[in-house]
Amino acid sequence: MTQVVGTEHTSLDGPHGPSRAFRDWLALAVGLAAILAFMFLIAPIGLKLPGYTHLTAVLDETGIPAPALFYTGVPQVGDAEIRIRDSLTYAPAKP
Amino acid sequence: MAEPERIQSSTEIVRDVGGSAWSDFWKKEDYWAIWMGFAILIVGILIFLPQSQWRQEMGKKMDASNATLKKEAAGAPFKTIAWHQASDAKRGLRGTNEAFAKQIQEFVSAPSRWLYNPVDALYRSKEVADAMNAAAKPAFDKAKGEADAALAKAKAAEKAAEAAGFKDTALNKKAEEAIAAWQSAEQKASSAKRKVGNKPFNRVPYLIGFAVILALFFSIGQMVLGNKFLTFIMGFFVVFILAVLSYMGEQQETMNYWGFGFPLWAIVLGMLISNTVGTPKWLKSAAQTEYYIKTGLVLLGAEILLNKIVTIGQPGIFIAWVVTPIVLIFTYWLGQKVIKIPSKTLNITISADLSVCGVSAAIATAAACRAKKSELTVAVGLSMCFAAVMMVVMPAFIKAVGMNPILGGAWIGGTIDATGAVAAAGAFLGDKALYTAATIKMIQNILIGFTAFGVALYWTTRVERVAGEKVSWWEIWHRFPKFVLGFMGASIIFSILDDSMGKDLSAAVVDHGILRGFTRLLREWFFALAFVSIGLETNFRELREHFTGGKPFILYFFGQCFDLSLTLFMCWLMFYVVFPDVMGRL
Repeated sequence: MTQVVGTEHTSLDGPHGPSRAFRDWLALAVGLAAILAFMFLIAPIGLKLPGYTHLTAVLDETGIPAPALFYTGVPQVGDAEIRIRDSLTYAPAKP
Repeated sequence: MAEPERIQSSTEIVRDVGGSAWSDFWKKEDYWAIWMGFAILIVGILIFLPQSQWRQEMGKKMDASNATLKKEAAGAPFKTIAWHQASDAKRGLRGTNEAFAKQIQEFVSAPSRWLYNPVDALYRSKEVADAMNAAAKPAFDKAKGEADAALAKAKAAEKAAEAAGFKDTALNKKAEEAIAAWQSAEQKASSAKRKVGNKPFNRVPYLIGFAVILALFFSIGQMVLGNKFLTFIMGFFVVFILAVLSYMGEQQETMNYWGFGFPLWAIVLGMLISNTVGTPKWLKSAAQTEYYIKTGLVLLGAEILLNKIVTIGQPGIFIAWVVTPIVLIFTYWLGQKVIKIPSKTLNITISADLSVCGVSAAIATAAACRAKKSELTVAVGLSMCFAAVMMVVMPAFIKAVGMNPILGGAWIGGTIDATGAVAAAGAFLGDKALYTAATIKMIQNILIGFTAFGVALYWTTRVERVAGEKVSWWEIWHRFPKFVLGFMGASIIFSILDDSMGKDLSAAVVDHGILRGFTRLLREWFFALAFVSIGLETNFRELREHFTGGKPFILYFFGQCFDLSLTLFMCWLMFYVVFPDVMGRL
């Protein structure tokens, strides 16, 4: 027979560990901490790998949104479309 | 007509069998997605199309630019300074630059970029904005000075070439190089200018207002579908807050560099809640994945402008439209016959994800074949991880082997899944590669409509058919996911609108007006709400089951290897053998 008192499960024999609710909230806190650790500790280290330093510089300079899902989410695709179309429609006459 | 029988299996997928009824038009989620999606599209059209004055002004400016482009192209053997200036002027003409469009964007915009303090994503004071602008000003002044100097040099070189009647090859080459250097300096100056244009903002009141409007908008359908208004509204605000946090995850600077977008964060946050403290019942009533995703997909349909297929001519059609279906079918076959993926829906979702355009294709395909939510989660995770690696490895390899930037750009555009990652990888190699990569990807994006329609039809007529059963057309209609019709209908209507306005004006009013300035912003919010809902309904155990034996990873890896090989071969064939003149003109 068990009863919940505060954040601990107790039985007639005495307390035997934290309650389920406490463990769930603890798991949530640990999960959030893991996300923050990934965001602020692990991922920035990865950006120091060869190639990624240049990538960050390019993204800073161009303002390209790397996570964009579709062409309408990337302004540069609109620029590219106009430039490509003009290049093909109004191609300079080579001698 | 008989009321359709709904078979629900393991609360994950819902299949309609038996028949159709008139009441389906207001009792089924698919139809609600169509009505709501089209209501938004009509509002978008009403906002942007009747603005006849600026449309006329834009039309006049475009005609003037095109006249200059034509004159310059006829007069010189290279793209002159005036040619570039005329083309750049067209790029500046966009519906999204108008005051009314900026007000809309302010209202529905996602949180902004931040690095350490998440509050920066929602609020920026005038002092902070001024300090940011002051810090960036010296770099802007320097870049502007360099661009002016490069322009002066380019003008002198072009004048010298012109004085020789453009007949001296050495002078022409010198002028071309000077103009390319000016273009590069101009781009740096433009980038520096963006950094001195920081403005103060407070997104919180807008987000609250937007959440209220969205809650009321979605509650209409939910009430008719049998959900309780108050319970839905209460849950909706929590789902919305999680969607805001997901956007903040995407906008964190480091995560943005990695390309980890809001879908990933929405799933992670949702799953974290559902697998720890659990998703309460009242919150589940607002976690309406299909409702949000199908409405978003109808809006996505409008972004599929079929005329864009011919932007880069025949090479683009072959690279994007011949290779992609082959890779899609091959990857599906590989998964079924060789790797033995137990779930066909997981197999086709991953195949569409890697062969078409990543997450957006996965969403459309998963909805079309009624894949499990956890299966879409697997596809999204794989796609983002592969894109984060490929957007650095591919340009590095292209540079290392000295591949032509146009060929390399086309290869990148045809193989990297996410459009943002394609543009980033293309920019890594320079302007020409960026333009080619982005254009090829855009053409490939258009395939998403055909893929979703084809998969829905194949699933209805083949996969869901009982062995030996003859399926009538009427039965196909009963089973067919109706939102796909809204998705395709939106695409056809907007393609006709796009075609009727002419390429330049449509680019400014439809593409960079109705779509990018209004419906895309809403569509992304709907997808964010959908991914939060997916997370809130997914458990780790189920996700782990899909990864048994690493099969989805193996499928993705080998499918991507095949895609890389075939796309490279097709790019080479198109640009070097069949249409070499196109390469010269780009």
